[in-house]
Amino acid sequence: MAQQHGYPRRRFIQLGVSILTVGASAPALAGSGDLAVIVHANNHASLLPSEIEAIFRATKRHWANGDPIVPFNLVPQTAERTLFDQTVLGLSPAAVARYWIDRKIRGGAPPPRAVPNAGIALRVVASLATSIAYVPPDLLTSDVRAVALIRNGALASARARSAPWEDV
Amino acid sequence: MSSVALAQAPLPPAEAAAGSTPSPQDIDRAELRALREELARQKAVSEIQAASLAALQAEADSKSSVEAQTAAELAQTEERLRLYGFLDFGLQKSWFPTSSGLNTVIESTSSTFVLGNLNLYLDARPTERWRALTEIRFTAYPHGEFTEAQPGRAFQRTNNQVFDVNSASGGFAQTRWGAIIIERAQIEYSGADWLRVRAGYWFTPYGIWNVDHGTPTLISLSVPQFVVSEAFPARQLGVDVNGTLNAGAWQVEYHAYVSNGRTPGQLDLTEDKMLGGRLALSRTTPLSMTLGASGFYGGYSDKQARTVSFSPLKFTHDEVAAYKELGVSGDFSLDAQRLRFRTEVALNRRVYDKGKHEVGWYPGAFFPSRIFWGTYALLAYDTGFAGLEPYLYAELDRNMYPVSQGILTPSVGLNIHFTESAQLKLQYSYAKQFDFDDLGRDLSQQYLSFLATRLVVAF
Repeated sequence: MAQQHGYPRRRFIQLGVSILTVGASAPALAGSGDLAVIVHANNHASLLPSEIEAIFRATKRHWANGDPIVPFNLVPQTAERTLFDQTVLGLSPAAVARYWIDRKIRGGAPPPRAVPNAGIALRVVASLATSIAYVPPDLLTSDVRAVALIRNGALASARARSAPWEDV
Repeated sequence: MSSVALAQAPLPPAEAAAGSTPSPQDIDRAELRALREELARQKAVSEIQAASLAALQAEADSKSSVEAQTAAELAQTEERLRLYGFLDFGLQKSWFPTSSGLNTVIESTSSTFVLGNLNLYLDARPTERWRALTEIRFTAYPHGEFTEAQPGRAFQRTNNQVFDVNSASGGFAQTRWGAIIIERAQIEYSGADWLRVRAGYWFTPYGIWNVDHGTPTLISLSVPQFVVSEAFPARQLGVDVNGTLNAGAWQVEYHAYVSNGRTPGQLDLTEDKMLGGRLALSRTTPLSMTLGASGFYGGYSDKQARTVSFSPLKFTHDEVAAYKELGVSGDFSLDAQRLRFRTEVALNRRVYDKGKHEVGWYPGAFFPSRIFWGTYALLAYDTGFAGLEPYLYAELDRNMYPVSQGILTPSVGLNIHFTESAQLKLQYSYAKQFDFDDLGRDLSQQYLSFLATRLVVAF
């Protein structure tokens, strides 16, 4: 951890603000550059932004019930992946690559598996109860549940207040 | 496909107009019929297009489902065995006076190419909660190893050159056999984020340098003296329970371990195990930082088996060296935009049992009970231009060195990141030896200038 590259530029919006900010339906949430962090529809976990970051840094590897978390990234160099890494991890594409090299050398856990596009990420999460990924909000279906939203370069999670998010 | 469908859409036959002059009603009827026919034609085309679209969608869904299913299955099984590692090579040169004590351990001041590290990781995950991680360093050692040039001691050099009798040349070829260093060999079980266990041979969880340990990850090349002299054992054989807990934006990491501690051989010769642990607080926003503290307590014992008598048969295990030691360390790292700052301090307090001191640097001398410590600070800045990352490094150590009590090492360095996995590292250090106490020794010639470079690739 200590000698990694990391240039945090994130802005966290507090939960209350985020709940007021986001809309109540998927079309209202959808916009270019928006991403929804999704889990399986039967996964009722709620996550803080810091926990989502820890999952995709592979420092948090288990759900509350002890099941291993299976995170999915989109492949590098895609707009969605770059946005996610910048917003959630606070790392540029080069810094992300270096982060995972550092993790390997230190003996840490491997990076999340990458899938080619958001459509596949959606289907994977819909079929794998312990998985988590991110997709544009307009792709959401009833098979998955959004636990956080990336909008305007900030990550807001719905922890403790799920009502607006259940419509997503 | 839709254009084909359009071309193939069934068209009603055209009717010839009646020979007589049509009445207005006849015209209306004809137009109505034409409109109906046109409507039927459009409907047929629309149905064909809808069918084509559905077929295409089904095909896309099927393909996507297969890919998703494959990804899900792969994720559940993970890769059973992964191979990765790093390799570094470089050029280095040192400068020091002929009266420097360093002449006993450094053969030459000539510039030389060096093969630094060739480390290979074998990362096996037979099931989702179990892992076996091995890191092996391949070396050309011990070829060329030589005895320290101590007074009254003959110089000897190890030669590992052997005839390669398996060679197809008929046995005249020669080769130098090398060796491997087990950097770590550990079995891990992950029960939950707050409860993980690793058992085997692992890097002692303390500070920054010892955990980073690899040239791709470390910012500087120079190894801190307290790492060289092992204020903390670099590796231990035992069981380490560890985990992480999230407390808001902070993450708390803990380690608690029991191990053999330092041993003269492969096995522990006493029942007093080394106990130690680490606690670290870290966060990544608004700045990425880690604050850590580590400590251990343990004992060392070296025994020699001896036959006292044959009849009756009697043996003794004489303890020839023994001490208790306590180690504490603290570390802090900070990433602020393009700036990286690292600092750590480690201290060791070693108390020998009476009459069981280890043999010292010089013939007839013994190491005293003592406290030794070291600290360094490093500041690096990523310019964002051509991968250039210059840094400043300063280190201060106190120990019982052969000719001094302390070493002060200012240093400058430059890392050039060609890609995320390839970089060139350069560091120039000036190490000056001195005494903390006024011992009246002339240490003006006890210094070392050292230039190290490494081309590093992680794979």
